[in-house]
Amino acid sequence: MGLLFASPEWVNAYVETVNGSKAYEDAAKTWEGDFVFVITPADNLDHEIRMYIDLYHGKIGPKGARILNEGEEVESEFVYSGPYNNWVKLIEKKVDPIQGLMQGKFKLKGNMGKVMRAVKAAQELVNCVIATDTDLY
Amino acid sequence: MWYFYAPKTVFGEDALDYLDSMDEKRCFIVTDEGIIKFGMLEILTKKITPLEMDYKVFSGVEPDPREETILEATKICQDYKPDLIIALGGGSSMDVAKAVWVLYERPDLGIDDLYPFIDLKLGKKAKLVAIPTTSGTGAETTWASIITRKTDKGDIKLEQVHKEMIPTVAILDPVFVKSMPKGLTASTGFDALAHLSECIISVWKNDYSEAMALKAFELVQKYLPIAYEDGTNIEAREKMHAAANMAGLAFGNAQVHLGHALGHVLGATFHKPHGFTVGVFLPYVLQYCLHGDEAEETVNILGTFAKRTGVAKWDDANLDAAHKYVAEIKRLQKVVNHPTLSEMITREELDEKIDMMAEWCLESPSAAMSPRSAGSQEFKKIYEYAFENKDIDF
Ligand SMILES: [Fe+2]
Repeated sequence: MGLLFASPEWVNAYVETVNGSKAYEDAAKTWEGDFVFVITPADNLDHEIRMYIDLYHGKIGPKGARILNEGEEVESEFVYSGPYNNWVKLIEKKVDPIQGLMQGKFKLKGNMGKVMRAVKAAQELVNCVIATDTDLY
Repeated sequence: MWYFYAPKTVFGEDALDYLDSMDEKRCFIVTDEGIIKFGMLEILTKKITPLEMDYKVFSGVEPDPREETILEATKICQDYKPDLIIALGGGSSMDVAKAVWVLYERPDLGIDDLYPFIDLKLGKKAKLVAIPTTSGTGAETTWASIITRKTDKGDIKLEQVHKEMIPTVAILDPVFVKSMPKGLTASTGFDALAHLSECIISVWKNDYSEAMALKAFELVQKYLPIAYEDGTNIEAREKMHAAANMAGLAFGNAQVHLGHALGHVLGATFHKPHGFTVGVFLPYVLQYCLHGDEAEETVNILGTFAKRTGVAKWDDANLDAAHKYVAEIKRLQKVVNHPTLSEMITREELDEKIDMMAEWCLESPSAAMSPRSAGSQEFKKIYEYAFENKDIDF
C-alpha cells in the first residue's frame, strides 16, 4: 500500500525520492527557489492542501518540505496551484507542468521566465511523484 | 484539450497584393541591411507607397538578434506609433518584430515577461504582418521569438514564447525567395526539415501538426534539391516557401525538441546559421529518440511517417522504416552539401565548450519536449557522436 498523496508521510517519502533522483539533480543543478503547491478541492478531495517545498541545486533545500497548516502563512518565490483532478492528470502524465499552465489547468505566481528555463527540472519533479508509492484520494 | 494556432496565410505568386486590402496607414518595417541591399525592401515599399501608407524602416536586425536590438527598435516604434508592423526578412527580423510588437503594445512588460500563460491582449495598437524572405524558419507562423542575451558566461538564446505573438497575417510571396543563395537555401530548407521531423514525435505532438508535417515533408523532399540546384525554378521556390510555412504550422503547435536545444546552444556559442545548427543534429536526435526503453511510440510514429511518405515500404517493420527515414535525412544532407559538425567547428572548440553547452541544453524549454529525456551526459554524447559522424548506439 502506498502513502496518501500530499499527506505528511507522503511528503517525507517524496523528499527522499527527490534527494535520490539523479535525473532531477542533473536537470536542476542551478535551480534555487521555493514553491507552495496548492491543491484545491475537486473530485474526492474535499479540502484544500498546501505543500511547501524548498529546492536548491538539485536537492530539497535547507528549508525542507512540509504540508502547511490551515491558515498558515509562508513566503515563497513561486505558487503553483490547481484543482485536485488536474493534479491527478499531471501525475498520470496526461498533461505536463507547462501544458497545464497553457491550458489554464494550473496557475503560477512568480517569475515565469525563470520557470521556463527549468521545464526539464519541473518534469523531473513530476517523475519523482510517480516514483513515490502514492495513493490517490 | 489542445490548440492549433495559425496566422491568416496568403501564399503564391503576387501574395503581396494582399496589402491592397489593408486599411492601416502607418507602417513600421522591421528588416536588415541585406534585405535593403538585395532590393527586397524596395519591392515592399513600391507596393505600399501607392496605398498612401506612411512607413518607417528599422534595418538594424542582425543574425542572432540581441535584446539590445529589440529595445532599440521598440523605442523607435513607440515614437513612430504605427498601426501596422511588417517583418520583412528571415527568422531574425520576425523574432525582433514579434518582441517589438509586444513591447510596443505593452510598454509595462519586458522581454522576460514573454512567457506563455499571461494575457497580452495585443492588437489594440497594431497588426503584425510577416513576410519571410527565406523558406525555413516558419517564424511567420509561430509563437516564439528567439533572442540572444549576453551573460557573464557567454551568449545564451532565450526562447520566449506566447501564443499572441503569432503574426496577424503571413504573406508567402515567392518573389522574396527567388534569389536566395545556395547556402541559405540549404540551411533554411534543413531548418524546415528539422521542424517537421522533430515535432511529429514531440510530447506535444498532435494530429493537426502531423498532417501539416506530412505534406511539408513531401514538398521538401521533392523541391529542396531542385531549389538548391536551380534557384531560378520558381515552382520549386514557391513549393519550398509553402513547405517551410507548413512545417512552421506543424512545429508551432507541437514544438521542436532536442535538435533545436542542441542547435540553439551551438548557434549561440559559435554563431553559425540556424538551419545548419539544427540540421546537423537531426539524424542523431532521431536515432536517440528511437533508442531507450520507452521508444515504442516514437518508433511507430516515425516508422509510419516514413511509410506514408514513401521513404519506407508498407511491409517494413516500423523500426526499420524509422531508420530509413533517418537515412533519407542523411541523403538529403549530402544533396545540399550540408556541413558536418566537424566542418562547422574544430575539435579544440568543441572540447573547450562542450561541458558548458551541455549545461545550457538543459535550460532550453525545447529540450523538455523530447519524447526521450536527455541529461547533460546525453547531450555531451550527442555532441560527440555528431562530431565524429557516428550513429547513436545508446
Ligand atoms: Fe528552427
